[in-house]
Amino acid sequence: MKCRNIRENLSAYIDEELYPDQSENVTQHLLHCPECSSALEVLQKVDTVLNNAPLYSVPAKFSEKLMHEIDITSSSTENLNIINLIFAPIKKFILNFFTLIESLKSFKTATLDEFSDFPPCSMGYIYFNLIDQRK
Amino acid sequence: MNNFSSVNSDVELIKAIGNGDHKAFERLADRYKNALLNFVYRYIGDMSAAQEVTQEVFLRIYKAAYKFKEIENAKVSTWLFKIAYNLSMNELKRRKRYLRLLNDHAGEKEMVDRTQAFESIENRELIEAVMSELSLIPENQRAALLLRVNQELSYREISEVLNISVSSVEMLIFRARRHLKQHINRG
Repeated sequence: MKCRNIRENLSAYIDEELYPDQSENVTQHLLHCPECSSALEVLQKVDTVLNNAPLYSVPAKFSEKLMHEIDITSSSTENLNIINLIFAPIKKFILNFFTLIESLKSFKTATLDEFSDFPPCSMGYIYFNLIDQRK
Repeated sequence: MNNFSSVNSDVELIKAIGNGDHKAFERLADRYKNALLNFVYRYIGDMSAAQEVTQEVFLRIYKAAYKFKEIENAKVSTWLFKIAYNLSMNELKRRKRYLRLLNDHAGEKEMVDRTQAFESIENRELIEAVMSELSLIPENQRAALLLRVNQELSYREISEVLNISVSSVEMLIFRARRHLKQHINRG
């Protein structure tokens, strides 16, 4: 394998992410190629530098502050649940009430006075005529 | 509520948190707070923002713990870093949007100041140079390299965090190392 191909695999080689046969090829190549071995060392040094860079800790009050936020979140969720528990039946009643009102609006109603001009006993006649027409 | 004394693994902690166990939450936070802080700090380069993002990660975890499903090979740490990465990306986008005109190198300065305790001057300068350069490489390369080198996530786990393919992860890390090694050579 050429040095160029090996060097393209060196990063994954360091991370042990190559297939076993690829990894073996790289290992064998490194045994007799000082240039590629040197390139590997430089890449490993990058990792060493990143691992040696200073690490930081969260501030002393981080956990306290975090748990305070969690308590606020929990209590607001609990409050929301209580509010839902109280207002859910009221909300349901109002919703049902307006649904009923709306459904009543859709009925076309007429007073009995509007039918006063029809001859007596004609309503049954009209009704059955309308039924026949629909058929 | 779960018996806290028997809670050990990350998945068990998450399940306990999902059931409202605050002690399990504290334990998970103690386990990951510094790792997340350092990842976010190195990614966005600002300690104050990193602390806020880290806190936000845990708040999101608390709210969403009940949603976590134990999938085969899924790790809680991958989930945590995915949230941290997404929030950090948002933070960087927000900064770019509002602070584009400001030549703000506060993060770099802070990074330099905090390396004062490092023993060897030669090493300190090398770390300063590499960390400074790290802040200049493309964001996805930086995230992939930090997750690999500092958090020791596998390429597959990194691909889940960054939502890209494993081969893309390999390429990002390769390019990031190739970029940073120039400074090692100069040193």
